[in-house]
Amino acid sequence: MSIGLATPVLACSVCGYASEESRTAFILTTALLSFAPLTFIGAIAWYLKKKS
Amino acid sequence: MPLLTNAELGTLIFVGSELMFFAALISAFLIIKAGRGEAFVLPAHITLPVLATGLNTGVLLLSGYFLHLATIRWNKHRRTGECFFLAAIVGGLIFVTAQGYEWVRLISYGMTMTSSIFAACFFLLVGAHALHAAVTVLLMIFFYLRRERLTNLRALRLFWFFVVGVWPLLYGLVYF
Repeated sequence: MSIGLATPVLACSVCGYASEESRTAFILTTALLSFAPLTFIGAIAWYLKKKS
Repeated sequence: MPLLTNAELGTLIFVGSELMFFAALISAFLIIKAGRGEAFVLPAHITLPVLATGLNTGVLLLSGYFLHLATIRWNKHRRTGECFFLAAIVGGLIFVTAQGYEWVRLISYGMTMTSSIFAACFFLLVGAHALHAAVTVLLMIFFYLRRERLTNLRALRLFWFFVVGVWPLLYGLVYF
């Protein structure tokens, strides 16, 4: 029954956006949350290399 | 002396987790703001004290600079270091007190967590930062009274730099 009743949904918030502004915000925040830890770790590694 | 002491390494790991915490809050703010569009406004008849908070931001930045000066003078010129440390504490106290006063005024005008979606976001973002600032100021007072070792002071400086550094970003996002 589950298979029969199931309908396709847009699970991706960037693909199924309500407005262009929302889509931009989702892309921007995805980039922020992805690159923030990498930048932080990279900055520490660079600082340690410079000090050593 | 090692490149990083245990205290500094521990603080850096903590700062990393705090960075992600604030990144998540900022992301939520941006998405809600974009989704609500024109409805993402202050409750009627209320304006945020942009200029006063701007001045308060300056005080906070100065506090961070004073703590930096205190740290580099802590061992060799203790008396000067203590003066700068005290100046950093006073700067932090002014910032937290001014924020508290601003909140009391806003609440008295009727702006609460339930007034609007903007008010909820405002109190969440600014409140999370104020909590971090208040706790760090208390830690600074504790460190000052104990005449803490330089290694611990440097770890505290790392965290205070984070608290000071994230504020202009929050200020720009929320107040403009």
